[in-house]
Amino acid sequence: MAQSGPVRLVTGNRLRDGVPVYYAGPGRWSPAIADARLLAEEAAAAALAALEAETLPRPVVAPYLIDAEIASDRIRPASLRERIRAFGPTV
Amino acid sequence: MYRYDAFDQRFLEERVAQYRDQVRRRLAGQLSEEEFKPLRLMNGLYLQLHAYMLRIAIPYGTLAPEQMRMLAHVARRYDKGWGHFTTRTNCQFNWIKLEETPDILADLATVQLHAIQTSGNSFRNTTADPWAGAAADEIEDPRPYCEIIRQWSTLHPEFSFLPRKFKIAVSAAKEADRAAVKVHDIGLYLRRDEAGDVGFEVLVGGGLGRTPILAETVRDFLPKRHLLSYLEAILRVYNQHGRRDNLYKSRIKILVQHLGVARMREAVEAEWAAIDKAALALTDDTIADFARHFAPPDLAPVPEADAAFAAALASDKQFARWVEHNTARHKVPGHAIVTLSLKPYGRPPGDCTAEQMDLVADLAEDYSQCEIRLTHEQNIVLPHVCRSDLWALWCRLGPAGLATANIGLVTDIIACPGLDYCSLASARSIPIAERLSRHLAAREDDIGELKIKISGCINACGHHHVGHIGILGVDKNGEEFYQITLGGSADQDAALGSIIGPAVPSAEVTNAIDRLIEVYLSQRVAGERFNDTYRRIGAAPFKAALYAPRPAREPAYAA
Repeated sequence: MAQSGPVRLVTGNRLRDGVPVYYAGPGRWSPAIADARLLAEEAAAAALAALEAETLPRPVVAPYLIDAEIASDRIRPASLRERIRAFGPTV
Repeated sequence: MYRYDAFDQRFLEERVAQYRDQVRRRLAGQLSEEEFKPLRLMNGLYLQLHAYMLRIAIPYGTLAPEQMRMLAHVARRYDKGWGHFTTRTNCQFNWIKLEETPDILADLATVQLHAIQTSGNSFRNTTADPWAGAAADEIEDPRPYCEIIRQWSTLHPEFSFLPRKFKIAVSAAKEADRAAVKVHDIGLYLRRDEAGDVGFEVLVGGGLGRTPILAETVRDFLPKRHLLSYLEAILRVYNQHGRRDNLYKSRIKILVQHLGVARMREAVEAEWAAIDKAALALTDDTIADFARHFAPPDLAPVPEADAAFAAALASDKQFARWVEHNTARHKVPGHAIVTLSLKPYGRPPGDCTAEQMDLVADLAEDYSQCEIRLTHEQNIVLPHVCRSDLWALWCRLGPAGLATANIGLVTDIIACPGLDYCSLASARSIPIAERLSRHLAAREDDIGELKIKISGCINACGHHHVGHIGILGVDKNGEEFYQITLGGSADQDAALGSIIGPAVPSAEVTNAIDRLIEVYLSQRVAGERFNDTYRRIGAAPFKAALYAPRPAREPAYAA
């Protein structure tokens, strides 16, 4: 992961158990944000549209885009809500 | 307590089978999320930040030991070993898998528990005085009426598409409101008229959320035989005139505010006049049938003087402190109403482990006539304990982490799950509660009765509007800030708190609360609780202390 700065990625909750998962490439979703496919603005919208157009059953409920940044080779979601989703409750 | 008959039980089992098929079709891709969501919500299943959350109804907060053990079983087998008791006296599990929910509901149904109507625009769990049947100051036990309301309001065909959710609370007496009646869509106080007959004072249009309003009385005295027809009249007015075009204006409180209570009363009375009251009338026999399920336990009066009990009080200060804060006088002499605190210092309010649930079930069997209650303040009540058993009971609490002696004190904090779990939240609640609890524990006896209530968003599940000190989490440009209100109360002196000023950043909340408490401690006169002092001296001294100039290196409050 050589890049740094702002990126976008696709996330949602896995249908069968609700676990937050991250889009990791065609047909792949991972519960680890480190596996997430990093997308530029236009590619992100296209990726989401493609996922939403897939036929049922889809493994993930209501996928959406989030902002994140790369710092020290780690993906860090921009919002506290998404950091808590990615890394768990703070208590 | 109330036991289902064969019809109820069969209905519940059929409902589980129906839900099992719905989940199967969802997992197989035959139902979209859009189609499935209303179906899962009808069964109390939400999708939160980390997993599904299942909210189980605990009707009027009353649980039998085997039901509590079933909650422990669900916690162990399907969750991470604990559950969370809420301000609606429900039980929530935060780490649920959709694919396991049909099995969970089937397990719950074996002890007559379910999650029906714990979500959606329906009647939610009717709440009651947790001291029902035990308090000396009650007019009558409210639970038979709660059960009548539960049966009337469960899957009521006319009211299955209300403008918004609908919450009813019943208090055993107006002078001692332990059910937060005035912040409910409909609140009922049991009372007597001049002739000595028992009925209800009926209040309408209370609620918290983004538009907090206290309910107002629409009828001073309703004979109890007319309870259902009058409720039906209120619901018909709401169903017809409540707004469905705007989510934020859809609760009955907005309708009452819009019409004014006088016109609301006229509308309800007109509707009631047109209703066939005989069809819904509660005969004395019907009420007696329900009351039989809640017959008072056969407690023999015990002399108040008990040498062993007095010796235990004298020999163990921690026990004496617990008796002082966590027990209340029972209507039968020599017995006590015991509250078990779910507010251990520095830990999340309302959480309960499977081991604790099992212990509470055992204690209820051993000492409390097999009765358990939940409170809207997120604690557990054992309502019928002989005073001579208190020492033995208390000795079993400490090792389980259930002996915290802080009921009604500043560390007995209400908090919603907040942003650590909830997809609606704007900010975290639990870490604020934990910090305040740790910080204030050493001084709680000196501070006395002070109720802090924390919500992580404007929906107010943590009842912040009615906290003596209310704390509301808000998101300011991605940072957590907390708005503070003072002077609220959910009791018989119900009041909505007033916002004291600009919100404070997360790191400053403990300091801010400290400053407010210092004002109280320095200004109080003998016997005054926090709210008494606040009402006497007003907000200005508190505001001045909170927003006094600060050393330059401390962060400023948000404008």
